[in-house]
Parts: sequence; C-alpha cells; structure tokens
Amino acid sequence: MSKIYDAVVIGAGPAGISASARLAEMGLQVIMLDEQQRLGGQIYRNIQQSSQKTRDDMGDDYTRGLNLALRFEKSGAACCSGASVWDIEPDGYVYFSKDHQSKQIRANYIVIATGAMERPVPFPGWNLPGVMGAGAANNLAKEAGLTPDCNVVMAGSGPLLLLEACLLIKKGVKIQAILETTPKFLSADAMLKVFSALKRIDFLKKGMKMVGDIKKSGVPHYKGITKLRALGSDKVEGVEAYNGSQRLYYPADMLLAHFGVIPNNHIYRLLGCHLDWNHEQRYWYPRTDKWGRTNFDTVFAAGDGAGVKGALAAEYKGELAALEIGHSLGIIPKYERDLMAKPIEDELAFDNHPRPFVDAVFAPVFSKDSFDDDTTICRCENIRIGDIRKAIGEGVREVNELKIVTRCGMGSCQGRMCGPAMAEITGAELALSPNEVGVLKIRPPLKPIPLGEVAEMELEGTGAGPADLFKNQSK
Amino acid sequence: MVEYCRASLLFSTDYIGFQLSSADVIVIGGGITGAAVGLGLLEEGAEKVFIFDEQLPSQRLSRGNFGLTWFMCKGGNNPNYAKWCRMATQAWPDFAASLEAETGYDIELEWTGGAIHAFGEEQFQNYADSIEVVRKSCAEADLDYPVRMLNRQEFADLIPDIEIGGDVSGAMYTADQGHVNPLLLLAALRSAFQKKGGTYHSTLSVSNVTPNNDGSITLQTSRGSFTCSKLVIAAGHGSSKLIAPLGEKLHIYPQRGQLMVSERYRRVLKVPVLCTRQTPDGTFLIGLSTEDTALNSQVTVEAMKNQASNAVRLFPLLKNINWVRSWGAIRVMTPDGAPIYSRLKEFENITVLALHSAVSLAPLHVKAIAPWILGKSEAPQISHFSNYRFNV
Amino acid sequence: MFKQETDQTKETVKVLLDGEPRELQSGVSVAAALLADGQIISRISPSSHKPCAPHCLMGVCFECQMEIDGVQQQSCIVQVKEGLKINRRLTGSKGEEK
Repeated sequence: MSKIYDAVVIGAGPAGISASARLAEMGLQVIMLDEQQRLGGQIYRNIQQSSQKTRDDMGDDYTRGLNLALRFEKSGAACCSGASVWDIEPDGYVYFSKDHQSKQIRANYIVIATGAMERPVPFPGWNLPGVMGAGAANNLAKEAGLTPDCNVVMAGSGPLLLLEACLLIKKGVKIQAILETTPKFLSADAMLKVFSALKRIDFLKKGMKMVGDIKKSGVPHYKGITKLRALGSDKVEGVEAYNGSQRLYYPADMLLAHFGVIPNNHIYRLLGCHLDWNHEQRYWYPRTDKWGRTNFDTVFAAGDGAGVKGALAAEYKGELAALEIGHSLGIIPKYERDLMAKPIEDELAFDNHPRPFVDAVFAPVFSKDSFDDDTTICRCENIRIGDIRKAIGEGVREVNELKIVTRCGMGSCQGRMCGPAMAEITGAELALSPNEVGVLKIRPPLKPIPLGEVAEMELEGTGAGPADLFKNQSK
Repeated sequence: MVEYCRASLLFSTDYIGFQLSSADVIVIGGGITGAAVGLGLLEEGAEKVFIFDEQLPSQRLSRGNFGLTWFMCKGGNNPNYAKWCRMATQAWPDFAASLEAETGYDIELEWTGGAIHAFGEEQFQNYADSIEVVRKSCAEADLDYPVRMLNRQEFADLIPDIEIGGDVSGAMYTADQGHVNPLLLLAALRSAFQKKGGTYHSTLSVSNVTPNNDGSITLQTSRGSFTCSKLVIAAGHGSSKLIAPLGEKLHIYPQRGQLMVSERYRRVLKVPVLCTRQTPDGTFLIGLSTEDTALNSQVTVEAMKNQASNAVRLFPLLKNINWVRSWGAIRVMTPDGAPIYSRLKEFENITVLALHSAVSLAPLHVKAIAPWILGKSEAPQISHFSNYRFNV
Repeated sequence: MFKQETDQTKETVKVLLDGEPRELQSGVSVAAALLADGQIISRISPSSHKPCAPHCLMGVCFECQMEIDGVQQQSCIVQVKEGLKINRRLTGSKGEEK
C-alpha cells in the first residue's frame, strides 16, 4: 500500500475518537484503527448500538459517548474496526490484521490511544473460572446486555469497584459482600490531597452518594481486608478473606475482582518510548510533553494509556494531540493552536482536581506478604510465584532474565497479566522498588497472528531476501 | 581492651572484605559460555571462582539461540573446527544427563538428529555437493561425516506426523545430533555453578581491567574492586571494550539473528529442521536470519515475513498456527566463523573467549576450555582458535 | 451465571460449537454469547490442563482464546456470525482435528 495518511490513530476510545474527529475536522487524512468491532473503547463500549435500558443504567457518563460518536461520524475520519495492530515503527509504519489479512500502512503521525486495563493482581484462586474483573462485568453489560444471575462477591480496591457495585445493586444482583483491600483509614497523604478535591464538590457528592447507596443496600462491606482467596476446584465456589483476625467466607459462583486501572503500555514498550514510573499508582507510562508527544517526534500518546486520568481527560488529551499534529503539519498556525487549546486545557485542569485525592485514597500497597508461593502468577504458562522466588534465589535480578529462566511472561498474553506482579515480587525480594528491576521487553507481534497471514502480507519493497542459511557455516 | 577489640574488628572486616573480593578465577560474562567455563573451573579444582553478569536483556545472546546441538554443516574448509564441533556434539548426551542430575533442571535435550530441507532440485544438488566439502574437511581431521541426503519420500517418512510442502525435494540429514532448550541450559549451568560453590554476582559491571606487577589482576566494578589470579573474559559484545585498554583488538563483528515462536500445538515434529523445530512444550521455533547489522537487536517485519513464508512452505500446517512472539539477538561472529579462545600475549593469565553457537559447544567449555585456562591440559584444536590468527 | 436484559432484542444465528449446532446471540462477541448461553468454560489450558473461563473481557488476558474457523482467536473480540465453527477442545475427542 503506497498511501500515506496524515495520521493513524490506534484505539477507538474517547481519546482516539476525539483525536480522529479533530484531525479530520482540520482537513487531514486520518484513519482510526481498533481491534473491537465497534468504536467506543471500553467506557463507551457498543455505544452506537446500545439499548435504552443500558443507557439508563449507565447514566450520563456513558451516554456522553453518543455525542462523541456523532462528532466522529460527521468529521469524515475513517474508522477501521476489527483491525488488530501487531507492529508499529517510529517512522510511521503500522501493521495490522483485519479479516484474516495483514496489511502495512504508513502515516506521518501516529496517535496511540490504546487505553488501560484492570491491574492484574495474583491471589490464590484468581485464575478459577468465575473470577472476572469488575470492569469485565461492566463490559458484558454494554456488549450484550448481560447481568450476573448468581451469588456474586466483589473484592479489591478502586473507584471502579464501587461504581460497579452500585450499578449491580441497582439492578438487583445478589451481591454477598464487598471486600475492599483499601485501608480502613485515610493516609496522611490522602488527607492532604482532599483540598484540591474540594474544588469539585460535585464529584465528591457523587462519590459520597455512591458510598451511601452501598450502605443503604445492606450488603456487607469491609475495608482493609487481607488474605483474599477464591476457593473451588474447577470453578469458584466461595471467597475467603480476613478482617483483622476475623475470617470471612461467602459461597459464590462469581468473584468480581478489581485492583485499579493501569495503562496498557505494551505498544509504547514495543516502540521503545521513554517511560516514567508513577510510584503512587505503581505503573509505567510514556513520557510526553503537554501535547502528548513522546520521545519520538511523530508519535503521540493520549488517553488512559498515557496515564490513567479518566474518560473526560482522555477526550481532552486526544484533542490536544490532534491540535499539535495540525500545527506540526502546518495546517494551523501556532496562535490558532494555542487559542483552541486553552479552553481544553482549562477543562483538563478542572477535571483533574479530584484525581490526586482519588489516586492517594486507592493507592495500592504491596509487600512480600501480599504474595503466596503457591499462587499462579503466569496464567498462560502455569508458573507459580514460588518458581519466581526460586530463580531470584539463584541470582536472577531482572524481570527479562526471570522470564527466560522461568517462562513467566512467555505465553500468549505476553506478560500483560503477570508483568506488573513480576516487578512487585522481584522488587519485594530484593528490597528494591518495582521500577528498579527492569521492564519486560516487548517485540512484535502485539497480538498473535497466523504464520500464513504474515507469509502472505504485502510489504513495500525492501530488498530483503531470504536468509542465507549457510552464512555462518563452511567459510 | 576496647582498642584491642576495635582493632581486631577492623582487621577481621578488612579480612572478610578481602575474602569477599578476591578469587582464584573471575569470569566476566554470565551467559552460556561464561557459566559453562565457570562450572568447568570448579570441576577442575579451582577453589574460588566468581562470575560477573550484567543481566542486560539486550546482551543476553541465548535469547537468540535456536537450541541446536549440531555438527552438521560446520567446519567446511576448517578441519579443526569440524573436529571441535563434532567432539562437542558427541559429548552432549552425557553432559545433559549430568547437568540434570546435579541441578534438577530438565534442559529438554532430544537426540533426534537434524535436517536441512531443500526446495527444488537445484537446491537439493547444492546441498549434496556441500556435504562432500565438509566430508573432505573432516577426513583431514580423521573424522567421518555421517551426513547424507534424503529424498522427498525418505524425508516424509522421517517425520510422519507432519505433512511436508509440495516443493520440498528432500533434506540433508544426520541422526547423530539433537536440540535443547538454551534458556534452561543457562539456568542449569548457573545453578550447577553455585551448587558447586561458585559465587554468582549479578547486575555488576566491570569498567576497568588492570594487570598488576605481582601477576594478579584488579577489576574496577560498579560494586567496588576485585582481584584475581586468572581472568576469563566471556562478555559477548562487552569483551572488546575490556581488552582494548590492554592494547588488544578482538576480531568479532555483530550479526543479528531473529526468530519467531508460535503458540503451543500438539507434538508432531521431533526432528529439528534448521529453520523450524518444535519444542517439547509444543511451541514451534522458526528462524532464522543472518543479518549484518550493527548492535541493533530490533526485529524487522521483512525478516519475519521471510521466515514465516519459508516455514509455511516447508510445513503447510503452520499456516493457521499463531505467531506469538519473537526473539532477537546479536551473535558474536568471527571472520571465519570458528571460535576465539585466546590467551593475551602480554598477559597470559587473561583469556578471552568469543564465539557463536555457545549452546552446541557448551560441553567442551566445561571439559576442555576450563582445564586449558588452568594450565592443566590443552586440547590440540585450541591453538588454532587464537585471536591472533586474524592478524595477517 | 448471566441473564439477559429484557429490552435487548435477541437475534440468534446458527453456529457449530464443538461439532454440534447451536444458536448463539448475534452482533456480540463470541465470549459474551457463550456466557449468555451458560457456556462458562472457554478452553482447557495447554500448560495447567485446567479449565479456563473469560476473565478480562477486553482482549488482554487470553483466557477466552479458542479455535474459531481453524485459528486460535480471542473470543471476546471475534463477533458471532452465521456458520462460525467454534472448537473449544474441552474433552479432546470431539471437534475437527487440524
């Protein structure tokens, strides 16, 4: 394919949609790729095909996506759904698979808006059938109108856990208990940050209503729980935890576990973007300037994938990236860019007031004791936490070395589910911070691709011939 | 009394410090070669051996090793290298067994031979001709060369559980070699080394090598200074910068190798083919590229496409099997492809090792290179692998 | 395990599930449709040999991976279509052999 786009936007969530729309509105040739079949990302999943009931259940935070989608349609940006990006190069080449064919396209600018994921935290039984993310349950409601119809326990920490709990309570789901690992009392750090949050009384009121609704429902709700376990042999049958020394146990067919949201940063690591460490929320994110530009001049990061700040912030960051790309391409002059950016930056600041407080309240705390030797850490390859510790005992100090010795991170998910915990556990064993033990190297493919599809793909002429199998031999 | 106690405490701390930072032999480089040599040194009676390893992912060359324990195709026009490779291959089964017995690591050695497939008649004939070249070389070293060409039917019969592609004309084949898991080999060597009393220092970098007048060597590192009586440098691409200040140039150059790994599939291929083998856990490894690049271990889509294309042409089954990850590493290549085992002319207690195919040659690094380093014995081939052979 | 919202129009199409014909909700992901149909287990793990079920429902965890039209794919991303051939290989004896 010899066509060159002005921009390729990877990800069709709020950041991707708003970036694409703004770019197209400026008259640029833009294509938006997403592996899902419909735009919306996770938060606005299935928004264009959503039922009235789903929109009523989810409220304004979901229906905002309708206007966003409408704007996108009007803008003329191209949407390429069902397109799974599996490689990307800083000079603008993007490789993706759609309808069982792999293609190569090229753009002058790339906006990466691939979003976030639920933080994967291994605890005993977390890989039993019936254990899902709280966000996962939310996805099923939006995707297919599904509601849990069995005994449910919810566990973990984070605003999304409580949001989903409220939603399920409203729908009449039989929630047996909410077991929060969030500490019982606010830390000093969180208390200091409440002042900034006070600038958003509306947000705080919303939060307090949420907590109040949960209380009114009578669902047992604990904080500061420890030793969370999902029990069962072939599927989850019950959930156990400790409230201090008091043992809690609830029979359940479903455990919705959620430990916060972290960037899905695989694609940034594949590219080789410089990363920074968010110590409070314990995740890596790409280093960017205020427009979202990474260390690669023509690659921008927007949305939760660049740092978890929520759906509105994602929208704003998508806009800002688009404005700067427009400016860089010479479509709009600097003063126009700055004029249009100002109200967006103001909205961003307004939106961000409660964030430091929320991040502090739900800051995860991990130590050696958080992880049992017998717990599976690598679900794909069936590797136990004890296997990791054994390798560390034999001198392994870095997560890539751990990966090659134990196979942890070598499976289909490419370390998405075990990478964060590998760093936490290695750091805890070595008395180092998780950002001091390396980051798993990511190479293509970002998603599995059939070998036949790779073999058949058309590439721009590169002159690379087949390998000389005898190059090393018989000299 | 207090002064006396304080003085003896100081003395014992210094003494302990000295004990912790001095060794008989230090090996710089904890990859497969460094770990094998370290193990061999202990087995040969060296008392205190340290291995220094940076654990830098970009320099972990075993990440790009295909895992073949082969002699086939090695040593054409180089009888010493042909002999060396053959000796290594023959030593593999016992080597694997003893390593597994010592450490409990199953390094997945399968002694199932090896093949190189041919497409079309011309390639078939080229391979047949090349067999004779290597056979001649082996004859000069008093070696046989049990390699032959299989026609298409014979090749298909050799691997009955997987279909071969339409234009596969046959394969070069020998039964006397195998394949192994390079990553587990590294883990097992490191484990055996430590079990035998070796000290493994990880995430430690050496910045300076200083030979002293009394024959000892001092190393400046990121964790303080160390001394040793003998030094082995097996640091891959990091070796050059360590010996340059000593006036030595290491004749190596980087050659990138990329390989692809598939998802698991039920076991249908037990004989490793040069560019496609299936591991005991069911994943297919597909290689293999030989690119003259600088120290850039990025993978390229062109290479992936070529490798996938070749693999699917060989085994049509692979068409619908997913590629799930790639590995790449920069081989340490020498001008003639044979290893460098070299004592520095000016500093005979410093030895440098530089080579590709560290997996194939691992048994000899334990059994032959280690005793040579200690001055206990010298296999006749070793003198042909000096770094100085390139100074013409 | 899951029930359907009442106002959602439930169009179904015919697919082959583990060699047997089955009606699944169309216009949604295969993983969602199977969960709606009460089919919780998505695969048997090739490493642990234990049953797995969808976990993240957003394309990250790969627990929902199954053979769809001859290729292992994440069922939370693939859409249900008429005539889809789904093989979960739960027992190893049914379904097409590759």
